Amino acid sequence: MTKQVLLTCGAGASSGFMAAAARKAAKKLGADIEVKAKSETEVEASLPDIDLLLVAPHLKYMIDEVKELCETNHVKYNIIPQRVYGALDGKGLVQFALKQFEGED
Amino acid sequence: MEEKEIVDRDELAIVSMSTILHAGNARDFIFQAANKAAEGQFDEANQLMKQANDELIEAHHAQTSTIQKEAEGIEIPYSSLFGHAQDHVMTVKTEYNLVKEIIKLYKRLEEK
Repeated sequence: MTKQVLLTCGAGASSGFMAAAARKAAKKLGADIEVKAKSETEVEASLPDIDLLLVAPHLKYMIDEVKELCETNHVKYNIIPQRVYGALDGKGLVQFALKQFEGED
Repeated sequence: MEEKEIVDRDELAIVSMSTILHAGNARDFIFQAANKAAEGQFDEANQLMKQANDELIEAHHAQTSTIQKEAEGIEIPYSSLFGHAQDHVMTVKTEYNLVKEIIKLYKRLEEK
């Protein structure tokens, strides 16, 4: 089943660019994931519908909050590496996302 | 007609992302510094503020190098992402200045 990946940052602006690059790369790579981007204020409401939350590296100061929310909702989470985010590396993001699902059926 | 030089859109997006990342790193250091000061660890707090300042300088640098192109006659295309990046820098700069004052307050409280 298609995995739902949500990218988040402060306003959903930079993560929007990142998600657009990732969607292009996912199509090219044939990766079975859907990538969306939202502002951090919308994250909590979105958690029931997603499999993975990827947080923009400039939001790492709020990772404790994210951790708690994701653990309660049984959603995987991680911080996007700076080199992937800074370069708007769509392929890098898709690979990073897929890695989070490794070891699953 | 003379052709006007324009900053490349993709290049501008990368500069914006770099600006946002450095501002984000600065913010992380600033919050850590505030926590250290609250615990009375002022040397650590000052060290973290210095690291925050270094990151802010990097963020500013990326932003300024783009703005200065306009002064040289190179056109910067409108980009909401670039505007957003500038907003990040200014917001974090404000937080930096405020936390600096908060650290002073914590110090004064401890001296009492």
